[in-house]
Amino acid sequence: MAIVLHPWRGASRPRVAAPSLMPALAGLAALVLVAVPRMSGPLGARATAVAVAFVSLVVESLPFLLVGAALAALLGGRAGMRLLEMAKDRPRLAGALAPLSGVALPLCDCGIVPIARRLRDGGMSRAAVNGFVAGAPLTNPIVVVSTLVAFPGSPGMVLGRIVVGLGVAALAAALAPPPRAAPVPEPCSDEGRPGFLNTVAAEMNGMGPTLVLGALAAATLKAFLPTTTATSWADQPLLGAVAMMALAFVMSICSQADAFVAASLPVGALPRLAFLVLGPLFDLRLAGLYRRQFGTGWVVGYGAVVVPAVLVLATAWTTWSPW
Amino acid sequence: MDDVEPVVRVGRLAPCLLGPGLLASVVFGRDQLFVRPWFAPVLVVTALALALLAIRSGVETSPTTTAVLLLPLVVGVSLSPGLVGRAQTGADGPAVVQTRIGEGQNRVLDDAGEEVSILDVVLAERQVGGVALDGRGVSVEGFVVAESRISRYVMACCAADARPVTLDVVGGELPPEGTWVRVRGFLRSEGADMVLRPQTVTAIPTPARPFL
Repeated sequence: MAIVLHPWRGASRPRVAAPSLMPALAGLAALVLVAVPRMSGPLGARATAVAVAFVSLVVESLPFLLVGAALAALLGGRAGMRLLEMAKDRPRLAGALAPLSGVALPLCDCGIVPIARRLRDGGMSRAAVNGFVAGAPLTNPIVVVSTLVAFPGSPGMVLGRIVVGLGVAALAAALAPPPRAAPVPEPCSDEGRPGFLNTVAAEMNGMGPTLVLGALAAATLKAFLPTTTATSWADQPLLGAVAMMALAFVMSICSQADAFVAASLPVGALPRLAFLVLGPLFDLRLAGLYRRQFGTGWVVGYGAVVVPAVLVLATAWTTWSPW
Repeated sequence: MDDVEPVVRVGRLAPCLLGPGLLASVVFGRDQLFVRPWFAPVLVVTALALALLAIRSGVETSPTTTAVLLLPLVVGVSLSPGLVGRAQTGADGPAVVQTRIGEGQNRVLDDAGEEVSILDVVLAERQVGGVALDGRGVSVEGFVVAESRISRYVMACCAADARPVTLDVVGGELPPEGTWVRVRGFLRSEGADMVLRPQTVTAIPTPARPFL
C-alpha cells in the first residue's frame, strides 16, 4: 500500500508545505492523553479529566462550527452578498442591529466565528463586526431560554445577562480595534471552484485545528484550576467577579450550558453575572478561533475592552437594578 | 517518471474518519461519555455532514491539519467508561445543580420505582422538601468521596461542564474512596439535611454512563 502526502494547495498555485513539527506534537499529545490516564493515582485521574474535557469540548462545538461555516458560506452567495451590500449602505443601522442579530442565529458562540469573518470580508464596518461578535452570542434565543430555566424566579439575572451584554457589545463596537485579515490563504478545490461545499470544507479546515488546540488548552488549564479555587474568593464580590471571569475564560464551555454551571456555583450575584456575560464573548477557545481570523492584535484589543466592560457594567447592574 | 497512483491520500484522511468516528460513537453509546443523550441526533447529523464534505468537496487537508483534527478522535476512542469512572474523585465541592434543559422524568417524584439517581433525589428534595420524601425506599449508584458520602457528576451540556452532586449515607460503612457502589436504603430528613440510611451497600463496576 502506498501512502502519498499530497501538498496542500494554496489559493493561486500549488505549493509544497514546509515541514512542520505539528504532526509530531499532535502525536505526542495523543500518546500522553492515551497513556497517562491509564496510570494510577492523581496524575492518571487528572490526565483523564483533561482527556474527557478535551474531547467533550470538541464534540460539543463541532456541530455549531459546521452550521456557522454553512451560514457563512451562504452569506458569500448572491443573496448573502446583496444582504451585506444593503447593510453596508446603512452603517449606523447595521451597527445598531448587529448585536441583536443573535436572535436569528441560535448558534453556540463558536458558530458565530465564521459568520463574523464573512461580515469582515464583506466590508462591514468595525462597529458592526465587533458589535456582532460581542452581542450575538448573548441575544441567541437558546441562551436566553437556558438562562431562564437555570435561574427560575430570578429575572434580574436573566435581564442582566442581556442588558449588560448589549452594553458590552456597544462598547466593543465603539472601542475595540478593527478586525484585520489574518494572513491565511484559502485552500481551494482541485478545479479551483469555490462552491458551497468547498467553502464550508475550507472554513472547517481553517477553524477545525484551532478549535481542537483551543479545547486542549482549555481542558488542560481547567484540570489544574479547580472550581473551588475560583469560588473561594466569592466572599469579596469584586474579587469574586474577577475570579469567575477567569474561570469562564478557562472553562470555555458552550453558551447554551453555562447558565446551569453558573447557577450551581456557590457565589453571589455579581460574580455569577460576570461569569455569564464574559463566557460567550471571550474565552480561551474563542480567543484561538478569533486570533486565526482577525489577528492577535484584535484579540488583545477586544479583550482589553470587554473584560473591564463586563466587570464595570455587571457591578452597576447588580448595584442599581431594581431586580 | 511515472506518477504513483495513491491508494491512501492523507489529504482526505481526517474528513473521511471524523464523520464515521462520530457516528460510531453514537451507535456504540460512547458519546454519552462526553455529551448528554439528547445531543445524539445532533451528532448523527454532524457526522453525515462531515461525511458529505469528505466525499463531495474537493478540499484536501494538509498533514498538519490532519494530525490535529484526528487528535480528539484518537483520544476519544481510547477512553472507556471504566477509565473515566475510575478517575472521578469528587475533588470539586458539591454543586447546587438546577433542573436542566431536556431533563427526563424525576423517578423520585414520579414514584417510578426504587432505582433512582442522586440527581433525582437532590432535585426532588429541592422541589418538595425533605419531609415529603422521608421514608422513601431508593437504590442509588455513585462513587464514594468521603467516609459517609457518595457522589455523581452531572453534565449541563457536556462533560467539560460536569459538576458533582452528593448524597450523605449515614449509618453504614462505605468502601474506600473512589469505589463505585449501589446503596439501597431509605431517605431520611434529619434536621436540615436529606440523608440515605442504607440497608445494603454493594461495590459495582463503573456504569456505562459515568456522567448523569
